[in-house]
Amino acid sequence: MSKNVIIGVLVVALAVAGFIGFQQNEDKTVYRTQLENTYQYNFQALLTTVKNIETNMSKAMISSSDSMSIELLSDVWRQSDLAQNYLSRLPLGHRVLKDTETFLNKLSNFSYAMAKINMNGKKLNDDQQADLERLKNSSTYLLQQLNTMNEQIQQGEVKFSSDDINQAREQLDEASDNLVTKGFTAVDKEMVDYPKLIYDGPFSDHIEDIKPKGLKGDKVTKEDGEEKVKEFMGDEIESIESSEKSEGVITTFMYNLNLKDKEENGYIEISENGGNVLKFMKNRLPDEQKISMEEAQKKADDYLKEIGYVDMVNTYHEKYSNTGVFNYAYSQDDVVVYADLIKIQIALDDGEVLGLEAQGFHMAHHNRKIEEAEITLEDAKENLSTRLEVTSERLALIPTEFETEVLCYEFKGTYKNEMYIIYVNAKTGKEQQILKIIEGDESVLTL
Amino acid sequence: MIIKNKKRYILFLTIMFVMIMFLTTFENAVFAQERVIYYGSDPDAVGKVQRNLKDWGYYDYNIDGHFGWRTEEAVKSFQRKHGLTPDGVCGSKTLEALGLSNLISSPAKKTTNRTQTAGGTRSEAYLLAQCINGEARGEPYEGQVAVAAVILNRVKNASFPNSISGVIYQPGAFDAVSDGQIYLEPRQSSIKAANDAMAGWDPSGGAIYYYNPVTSTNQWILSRPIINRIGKHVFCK
Repeated sequence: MSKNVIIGVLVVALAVAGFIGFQQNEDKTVYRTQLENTYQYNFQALLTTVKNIETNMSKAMISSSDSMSIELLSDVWRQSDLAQNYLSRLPLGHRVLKDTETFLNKLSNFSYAMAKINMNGKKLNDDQQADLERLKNSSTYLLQQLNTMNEQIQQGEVKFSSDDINQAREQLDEASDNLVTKGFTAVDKEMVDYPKLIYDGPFSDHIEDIKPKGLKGDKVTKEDGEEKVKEFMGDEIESIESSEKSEGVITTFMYNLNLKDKEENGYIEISENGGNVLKFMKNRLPDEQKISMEEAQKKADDYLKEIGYVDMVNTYHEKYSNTGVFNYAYSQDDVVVYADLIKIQIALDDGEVLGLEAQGFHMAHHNRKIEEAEITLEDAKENLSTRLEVTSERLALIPTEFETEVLCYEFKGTYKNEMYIIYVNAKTGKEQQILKIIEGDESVLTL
Repeated sequence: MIIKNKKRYILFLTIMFVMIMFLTTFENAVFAQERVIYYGSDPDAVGKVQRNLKDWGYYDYNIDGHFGWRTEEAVKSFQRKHGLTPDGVCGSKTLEALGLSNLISSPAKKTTNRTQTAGGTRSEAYLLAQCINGEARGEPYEGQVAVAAVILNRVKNASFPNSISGVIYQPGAFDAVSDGQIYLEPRQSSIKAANDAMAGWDPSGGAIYYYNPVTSTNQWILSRPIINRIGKHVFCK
């Protein structure tokens, strides 16, 4: 009797387990198919965009009219941006894809810069024409490789989502058995074989090798740096816990600090060249706000003077995690130099200075000779849209995305209750940049 | 015996049910909390109230962010003028009448930090915070900022996608994304670290990769030129 009951229970349990197992397997198949479909879509979309890129690049090479070139190059710009987007969604790992991704980003950047040249009524010079041709050849090669892969995919030889996720990862890491990976590795090698591209764009090769304009002082040692830290932080530090050399964009020394009478610690960084304090931060989370941003700004103003920075103007502040961050830009002959930027973080509970970021300032700051504006303020203003109600105006030196600086008139104004800043080139009178201020509760632009 | 058990079982279920109901309604109540501005409130919010009252001629003193008796009187006279109960406290109706309805629904309570930080332009910072919370929550504070900075450096680098979400969700790029830890609610320190990185602090020295030398076996990443070490992570070019 009791034996039968046990058997009965076991049979039912087995049936239930079997049913659940079956359902789970079904689910898994559904999910995997969905995943595979997403990957396939990204691959097919990548193929289509690269096809379009290749065609339009060919056309751009033989086009003789400016308006046609602009259209074609703008399309290459848009499509290559899309292509790198699709590419980065493929589950092949960064290492396999990075050079192809770089290629597409540079292509996007390059075609935009070339379209802009045409838009300004100029023709491409011989070098630029040659670059265009090289990039066209690279995109032809990329297209061929993608086509080969596509054949393998269509014959079912290649699947992006493998049965076993770990196995798939191993395949990627070894980059050997997986045909897709193999194909892309070959593409990658070919992609880096083009010469350096020089044009005005953020991914241009000459931008990547840029050297800091500031930080010209003598080299200091780690020990010298330690003295600097003690001098800078004064009574606040209990001891220097550890230090580390950092060889990034510039060489620096990093120090971990034990702060006096505090549980939290701090961190400070000194440049090897010149021994300047580049940044520090104290690891503390204020848990409430007791002082207003106005009061906090006064503390930041005072602190900036105390550590020896003069001729700085407050440009922007924001608030998060019960702290206020105040941005200051250097001002030379009443021109605001936006590249030379310092940020100070103030705790909104007791007004303590929690952080300083002066690396941007020290990297960019140097003796500049700011040229006189060639057009007058009135002329610049005349070119502005009449729809904008101008509330303030001044001269500013703004950094471009390709590491140069342009002298502009800065107009702040409103249109339909929204705030805009328009930069008018002080040489050409053309609009250089338009910014829209998205004013959250917690950030304010102070011009 | 069986009947007794059944009774107990039902009783147990009922208690559970009631508890769950209670918990869910309680949670809703906390989330739906509206902000009220009065004595002792956030000085910036008080400052905004004072500024509007001053602009409209109800208040003639300094905008100091402190809700004192003068501010209270000004609020009361404003409320009287606008047919509201003159209680001297800025509830949702008063804030709306003051043109500050954006201040109503930000419950600055510790239980609902999500709404406080996720809104509007800060949504990217929140995603960044989620990612570093999943990737580096055991790390020293500057180590968390450094991981956030690596993500931002990638956005600017030609070899990576050109947006924060693109970089974070790139397949296989971050373990915290692959294993779902990114969906944990980020700690306050991660939120501040993400914002610090977005404000420009970069302890990584411009790195675009990092790894834990104890657990990493990837030969390629181990061969990258090292910039520095923070906590358990090595940052590299």
